[in-house]
Amino acid sequence: MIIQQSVREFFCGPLRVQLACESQRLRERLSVTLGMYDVRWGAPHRAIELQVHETDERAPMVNSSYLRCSRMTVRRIPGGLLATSSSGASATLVQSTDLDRWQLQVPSTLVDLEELEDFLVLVLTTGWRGLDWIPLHAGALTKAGRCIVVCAPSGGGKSTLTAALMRAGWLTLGDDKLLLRMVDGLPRIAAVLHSLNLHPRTRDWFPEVGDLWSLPAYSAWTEKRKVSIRAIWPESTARESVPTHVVLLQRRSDLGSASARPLDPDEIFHTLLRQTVVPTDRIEAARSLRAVAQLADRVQGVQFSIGENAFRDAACLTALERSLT
Amino acid sequence: MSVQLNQFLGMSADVVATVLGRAAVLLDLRSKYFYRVNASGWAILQQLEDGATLQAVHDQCRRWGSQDDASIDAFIDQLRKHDILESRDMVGRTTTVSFDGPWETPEIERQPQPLQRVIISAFDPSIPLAE
Repeated sequence: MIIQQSVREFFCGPLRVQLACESQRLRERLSVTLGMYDVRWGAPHRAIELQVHETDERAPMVNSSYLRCSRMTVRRIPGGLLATSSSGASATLVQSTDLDRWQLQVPSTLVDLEELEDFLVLVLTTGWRGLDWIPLHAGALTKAGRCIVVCAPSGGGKSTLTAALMRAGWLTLGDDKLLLRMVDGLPRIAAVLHSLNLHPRTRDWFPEVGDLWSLPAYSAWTEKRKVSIRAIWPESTARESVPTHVVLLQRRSDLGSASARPLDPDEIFHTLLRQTVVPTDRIEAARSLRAVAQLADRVQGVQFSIGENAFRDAACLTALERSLT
Repeated sequence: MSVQLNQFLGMSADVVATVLGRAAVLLDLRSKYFYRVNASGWAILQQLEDGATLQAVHDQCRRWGSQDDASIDAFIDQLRKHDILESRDMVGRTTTVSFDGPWETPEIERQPQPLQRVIISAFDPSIPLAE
């Protein structure tokens, strides 16, 4: 059998990822995920080599000394990282000054390719961290000199609030994946993908999103669909900004509308830290902690509580916008 | 008090710290608990980053305005209770720490909820839905 090794190139923020994969099914799945990072950054880009192989062997799970995710554990090894998943896939990183070289081994018996995304996220976040960009699991929007970082856990309503604010004239940097770095003493956040993760029921509030049920689900874990922002709200995206406020979003079934209250400095820091993955690595943990503290030190904070159906009335955003002084 | 004045103490290698305003935040990488220390507490901790004796800490704190060794000892005991400090055989290097008071009783506060040990992904620190 002739094996055709195909190499594809993707730009994921400040990274240039070269994907080499002989398996068509793996290549297609990984390409879809890498292709979602659609915000093109200017040069220079850090080089990432990702070689993917199908194998008949299953790798044993390693103890996590670096990161423990629900389906993947990661440990430090000399010169890099070793990640393994419960299905027997593994990824090995050999890191040098200007290159991350990853080898991903995927059991040929693996049917659910969704967990490959965990490895891809590890590949990307490691590359970003190598350039001092801290991944921040938050949304961000900007309008009239203000830039808010929207914080909530997964499923906490970041995407819906992002959509609601875009309809009110805000530009978004994304709804759940941002990069944070200090530049000339100021915290800067940057966009890497301009898509939203919207539940099909969002149409009840925002009819322009259309029938999202007809789009393919991207994960077995959620009914949300990935939606291109430009396809629905053209001219509503931004690429980079200096945050002025942190918004802690809280959905409450007991509220009919919405309310806002200021956060104190400790609450701002805690809110941001809980949106940040902190690896169990002294240098990287210190870097993440410092970046979050520097951001927290320079922004104001608001807790925005909103009722389950409050988005039916666009005026629900008034309390939030008024609080952003 | 359980610590001798001539005993060397140092900050655990599993604890990282960063400045937050005039105070600081500590994160224990083992337990994932994080702590807030006030400005005086942070000044003491900086002395201990590379190791120091309790006597040296007392002396320095008096120069900064402390008139209460017992509050220093109580703070050190709290740090040891939370495994933020550990005993050392010797000092790594002498650290010069500046402190622009006013001096206040050093305090440490542990936040009630630690960071998640198991998270969704390398980007998402939320609790996995299945857990």
